[in-house]
Amino acid sequence: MELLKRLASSPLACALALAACAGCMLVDALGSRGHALVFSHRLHCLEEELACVSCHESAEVQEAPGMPAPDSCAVCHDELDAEKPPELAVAALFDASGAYRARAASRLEDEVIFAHLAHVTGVQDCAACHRGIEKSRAVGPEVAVDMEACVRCHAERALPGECATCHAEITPTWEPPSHASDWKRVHGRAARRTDPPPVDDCTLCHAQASCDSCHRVEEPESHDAFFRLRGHALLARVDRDNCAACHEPQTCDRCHADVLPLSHRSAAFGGTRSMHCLTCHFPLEGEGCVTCHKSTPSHAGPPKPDWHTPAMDCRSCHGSSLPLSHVDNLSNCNLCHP
Amino acid sequence: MRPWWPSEHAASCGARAGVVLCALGALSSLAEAQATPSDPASGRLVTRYRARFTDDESDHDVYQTLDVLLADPEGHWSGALLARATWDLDGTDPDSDFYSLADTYEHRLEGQLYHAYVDLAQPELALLRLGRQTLYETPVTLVFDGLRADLAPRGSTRAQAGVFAGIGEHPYESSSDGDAVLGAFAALRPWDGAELRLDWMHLEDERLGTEHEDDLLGLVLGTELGERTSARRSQLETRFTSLEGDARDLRLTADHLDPAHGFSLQASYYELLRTQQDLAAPLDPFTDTLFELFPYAQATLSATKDWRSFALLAGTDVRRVEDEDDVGEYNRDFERYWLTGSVPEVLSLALTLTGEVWRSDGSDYETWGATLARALDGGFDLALGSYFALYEYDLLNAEERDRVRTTYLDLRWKRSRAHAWRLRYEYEHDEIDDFQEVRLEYEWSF
Repeated sequence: MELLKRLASSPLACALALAACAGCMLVDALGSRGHALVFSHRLHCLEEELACVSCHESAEVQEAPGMPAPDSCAVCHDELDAEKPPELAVAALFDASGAYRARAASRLEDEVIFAHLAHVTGVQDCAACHRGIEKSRAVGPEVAVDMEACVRCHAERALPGECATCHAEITPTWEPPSHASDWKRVHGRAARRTDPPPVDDCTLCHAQASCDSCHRVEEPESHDAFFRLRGHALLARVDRDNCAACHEPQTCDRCHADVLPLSHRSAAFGGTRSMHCLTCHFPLEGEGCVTCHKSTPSHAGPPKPDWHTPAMDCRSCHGSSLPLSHVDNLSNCNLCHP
Repeated sequence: MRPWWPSEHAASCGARAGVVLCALGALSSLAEAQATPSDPASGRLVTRYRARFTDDESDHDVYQTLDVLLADPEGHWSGALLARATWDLDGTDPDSDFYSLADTYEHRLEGQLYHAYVDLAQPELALLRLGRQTLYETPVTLVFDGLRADLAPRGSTRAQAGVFAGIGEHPYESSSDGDAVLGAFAALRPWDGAELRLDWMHLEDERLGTEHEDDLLGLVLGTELGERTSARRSQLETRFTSLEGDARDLRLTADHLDPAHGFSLQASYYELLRTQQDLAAPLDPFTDTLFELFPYAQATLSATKDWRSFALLAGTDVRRVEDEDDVGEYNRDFERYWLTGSVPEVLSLALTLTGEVWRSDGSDYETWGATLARALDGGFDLALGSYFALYEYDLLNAEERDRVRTTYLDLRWKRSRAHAWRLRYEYEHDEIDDFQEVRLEYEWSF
């Protein structure tokens, strides 16, 4: 809740959210004018209990799905619409040529290879493909048969499932609409599903190599020379989880065992009399002394005389009567001087 | 400024790289003529030459990436291989501006094997995989050499289970001694459009003499909202993990995708519930170098709207460290905002403008950039872009502002289905140095 309060108190975040909401609502409101198609399948299929072929008369005999013609509707609607204003009469659903305007809502893309009649005669159940259409109150994109239904049915009947079975242009290199804009940033959620629906199944087009070649091989464009030399330190400090998408901890150690961070190259860092590594890098849980001291001569020999024991209080002599060879970082001396 | 091709040495390196690229081009053209659709191997071979220059230094490298999918024509097995060889043409010393990870090895020719596995077809198994592989479905991504077996989904709930075991693979660690992984998962669809998954992972990792052994439990529940169609879908997901019996993190995500109307909305909330320190490498986000990662909460919101003639993407990302006393050099609160606008057709060019801002007490970062792109006849794509980055540090109170300007030209030529070339030139200017980079790449798809 604290985070949400702080988020809500951020003027830029609020402005961004409001602008996004307002912009989309406005555009959708403007864009939807004049496109309201209100044919209700629910009314005709469930309440009036009409069969599909009552309106789609030629669906079982012609290749075209058989969209209703004005004359078909007129059988009932001449009387029903007699006192309605023109915009509410059934005739408003048709254009000047008598074609049903909603055709575009369920029309397949030109590149889709599909024989409607073969499916009507082969499946013999409209609802097997047009799932839930009987409940729809208006004709919109949601009444279109989705690819998941096609793939599922083909799989169940051991029918071919390659792209080329149904698509003339779509190949494994084609990008679906979901891949637009910020897909790269959010694709992980879809990719992690154990048993995804077919339309979300990355393996339809991608092998796992696609993941590895980005997450393990290719450098992002942002990793320019400045980023490599200095910039990465800033971003790693701010949001290290971003780095973890591709890198493991050894990435840091491997380079910095040979190269001091640029920020550490002044006289203030690393010298035995200046700021010792342990001032910040304490405790040394993982990288150990060797990250910085791969070949430091002073660490090659015995670190202290044999007669010193771990139980001794080092600071009772060192730092007062005997000088320390480096600044006292107040840590346990035995960590580095066993 | 010196010309980008500054010396005989550079010319010599470039010539060697050119010979490699030309030879590969010729060989692959020959191979294309012999290829048939029924070939059991497909993939790509990418050869890249990269030359980088400053006023007084240069670096020349060749990278060869092989990405292969194999399939038994009779369907008994399939396989995949992804590997990269790096050839440092001129060597680099640690004091060079171009010293990088690839230079930390003893030899100038080095290789990395990213994955190499075989999938054996078994009737009861959805997957039986042997070899070096990556697990992305688990609570943390895991790379290991070993075996993975997933049962085929069963019943109306599509119940499924699987196990994996092997040796953890860490590409930049010199030894795999003491690195073992073991795990299992069970998943089902409790209702239509939902997924419930439980993971257990046992991770052992030994690095530089320190042993780490951790057990992680993960629980995922995701569900779709409303009736999903190819035109629109909405989903919610919760991910929770527990480490050694203590809650580790929680992630809530909500997505709404409506490609038919060019709209998408994503929101997420993440909370790290315990301090991360001294854990096996796959769990440990750089504690060795950046110290403990203290509990924090992070919220992300992004939205896309595409009006065909103009598209807009905007988002924000906010993180707050739970305890203000834990805020420090490596545990920061931050706010991040990004905005991208693109016009696909303006004077026959596609224009993209993008900006990103990070605000974090004393360490801020901004980038602003523009790209103009045009598809040309003959399979050519040309892009010209420039972006500006401002890094603002407060490193031990020594404030610093670094401005970096980069301009690039990117030319791609897809000569045929099998052959593609790319040439990129990049000029980078900051207040300390100027860098130039030339990249020539050839990709053979087979």
